[in-house]
Amino acid sequence: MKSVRVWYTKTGRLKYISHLDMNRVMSRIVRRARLPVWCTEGFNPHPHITFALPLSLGFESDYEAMDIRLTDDGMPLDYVRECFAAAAPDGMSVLSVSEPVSKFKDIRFARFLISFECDCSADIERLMASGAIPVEKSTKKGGTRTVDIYPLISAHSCAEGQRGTVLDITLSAGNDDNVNPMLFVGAVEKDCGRDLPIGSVRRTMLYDKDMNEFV
Amino acid sequence: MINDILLNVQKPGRYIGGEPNSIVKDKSKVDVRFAFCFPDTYEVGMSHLGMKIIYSLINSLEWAWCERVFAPWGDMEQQMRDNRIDLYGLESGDSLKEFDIIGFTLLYEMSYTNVLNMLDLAGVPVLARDRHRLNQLVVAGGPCACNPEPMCDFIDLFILGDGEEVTVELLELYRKHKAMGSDKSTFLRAAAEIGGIYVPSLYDVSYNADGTVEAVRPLDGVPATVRKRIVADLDNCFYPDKFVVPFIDVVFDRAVEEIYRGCIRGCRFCQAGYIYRPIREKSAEVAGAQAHCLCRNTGYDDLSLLSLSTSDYSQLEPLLDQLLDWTKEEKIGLQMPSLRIDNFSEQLMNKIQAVKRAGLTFAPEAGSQRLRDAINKNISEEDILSTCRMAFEGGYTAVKLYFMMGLPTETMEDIEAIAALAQKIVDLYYSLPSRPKGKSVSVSVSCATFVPKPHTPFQFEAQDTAESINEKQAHLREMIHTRKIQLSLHESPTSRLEAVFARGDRRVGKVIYSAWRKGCRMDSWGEYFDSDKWSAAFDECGLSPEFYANRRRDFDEINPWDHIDYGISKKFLICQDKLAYEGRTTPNCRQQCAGCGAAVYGEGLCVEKR
Repeated sequence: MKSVRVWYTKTGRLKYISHLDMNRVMSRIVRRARLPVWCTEGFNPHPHITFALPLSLGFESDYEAMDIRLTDDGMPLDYVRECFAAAAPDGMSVLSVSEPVSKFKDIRFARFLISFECDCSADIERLMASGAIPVEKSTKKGGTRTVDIYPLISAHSCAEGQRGTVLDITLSAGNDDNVNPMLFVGAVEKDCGRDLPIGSVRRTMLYDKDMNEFV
Repeated sequence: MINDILLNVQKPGRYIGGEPNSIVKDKSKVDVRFAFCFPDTYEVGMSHLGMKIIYSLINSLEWAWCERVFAPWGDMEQQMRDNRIDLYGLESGDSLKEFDIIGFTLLYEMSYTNVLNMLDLAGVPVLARDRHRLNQLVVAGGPCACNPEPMCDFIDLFILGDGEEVTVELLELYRKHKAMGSDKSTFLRAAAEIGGIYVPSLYDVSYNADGTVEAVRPLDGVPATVRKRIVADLDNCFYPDKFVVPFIDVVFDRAVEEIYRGCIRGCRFCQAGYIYRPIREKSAEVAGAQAHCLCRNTGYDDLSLLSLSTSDYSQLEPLLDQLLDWTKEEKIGLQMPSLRIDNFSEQLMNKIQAVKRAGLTFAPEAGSQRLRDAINKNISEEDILSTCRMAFEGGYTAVKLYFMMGLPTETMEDIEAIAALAQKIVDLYYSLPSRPKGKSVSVSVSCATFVPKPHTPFQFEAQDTAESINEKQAHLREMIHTRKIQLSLHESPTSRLEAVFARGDRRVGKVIYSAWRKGCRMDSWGEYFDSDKWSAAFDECGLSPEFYANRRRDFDEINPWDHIDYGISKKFLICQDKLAYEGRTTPNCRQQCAGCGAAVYGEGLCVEKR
């Protein structure tokens, strides 16, 4: 048995499919692809699938990963990729299949491209210059707590897109200190006192603690 | 905020299309565009086998393209109306307006207002008489089409019976007339010549002073009665080799293999038991091969056998042997709904258990033997108890029992018998030394309100009133003294409306229209159903629901659906209704032909050696 890591995109209409639903979608792709995948041995046997990092409903992504276990150790990775690609729906391009190098829990940062439908680079820079960005974050117990996300932003830059500002931002991600980019957008909106319409949010890369691309 | 209406509604996955196995064609290269509309939510509609069959069937024609359309939930409807977005086909995103044929499946009466609402959401005129051109032809089929009269104001033509052959004939005719540039009335007149096609505008209905039907007159030389269509041979009939696989969770999310049509039993309350006759079986070889193909093409890990009564399938054992060959290996769960209590064998139980074990559900329908005989259920208390014993000894600790309330001839004693039967099952469990150790038993009792349906022996019967049902429910609740029995009683406000529309005439269409205008839609959903609006709609139209629901009909009264022929003779239905009052049962079709009339088709069990 060996683990393989499937790299894929989640774009177009697939952005409306929640993380919870993705599990079922993937399990059926694996079955349609007729890969010799290892199944759990519990009451309801199903393909064992783990995902790198959940993606919020409404976000697209160029860099998604999931691990499955194959019962056939000798199966060429390129063949696995082809089987997968043939069974994947529109909006999911299977980029490659590799042997896992690091563990999903080693993911520390995620990079996003946020395309606004207005010009707001000045508002973003003003907030960043303030040196502290307190936001309300909901806790697992149902309450809220205030967190300063400023130290959790590792890089940002603004550019002019066709319909407005395009923000490229790298935020803390993973099991601890995960920052949803909409928290940052909410802070900008609160600071400048107006709604900032967004055309799209796209996750473009995942990084480990040393800011190396996650593999 | 992300600027996207789909992110402002719940479950956007309902509205996006693009699922694996969905079919996109080049619209410039097809002659006929068909919108298959399901008048309920995506999750309900995507569970429906009929839609999957017709979708694949039409798309197998090179010159036609079938798309799926579902009723949007209220939040999405609001977004669509606010942003002036028409209801659209999921495959192309094009407005319903742009389709040649808009086809609805009518599965239950409480979805009727959704038909109107869906047309309106695309700006298609709701009333048939306001649609003048050949395109936007609105057609309907499905079980409720066996009394199409309440929907006649809205639907241009109905497709009666099995759709596999007649749908293709209808589309071919449409294609021809579209090419010729025919007008709508010319096409409708020609369509009325196809067997199984009912064009309501070609029939004139008159009424007596007391509100009953005086006569139904065919116009322009169309046939006086329209007989439903059947497919003769299920082995050679079209069956999809793939299903569209939803992204989101739907009600029945699994591969479904139909194993036969019709039912041998003839339970007198059951419409499905009559309108799908004659009984036609698929062979185990074909069913097994189709099921395997479906599982492979969809990636489903659950497979369900579909029929009205799985354990009555004559080739069930060979089919199960064949299925277990690969379902175990491929880790596919096998589900068998609709098992009968009297022929549920130990081997069968062990085979189901071989893969996954779910609960056991049986439908005695009535608590007392007297009433079970009156409704021709043909199962005895001994059957029920011995099946439960077998299940308990096999490790099951939960059984679910379905009953009906308000059946003809029912008395309080019959209601008490429901509680007594449930208690006997609990007692049986504790009397068994071999019961699962240290586990409690759970018997759930579920009671629905009986709705008399057309083309059944009880089509003449009055529905029990809401007051009487409430009294019976309260009495049953008092009779149950243990937590080992869970009682779930279904509310009855919609069952009277169901009874009205099931046996309604054309005038009832005005009530549906009026209720929809008042805002009624999604009436089968508790959060939407508005009893007051419906009452107001009846008042406005000067019609009383009691006239349709709670009135016993004379045998010689002309019913609104008497010109619709489902192969079951009225003489037979009258005879069966009388037998109910005598408490006499009728043997099942395999034992002896009861002469229902379905033999006119000359197919299936009717012409096989018994």
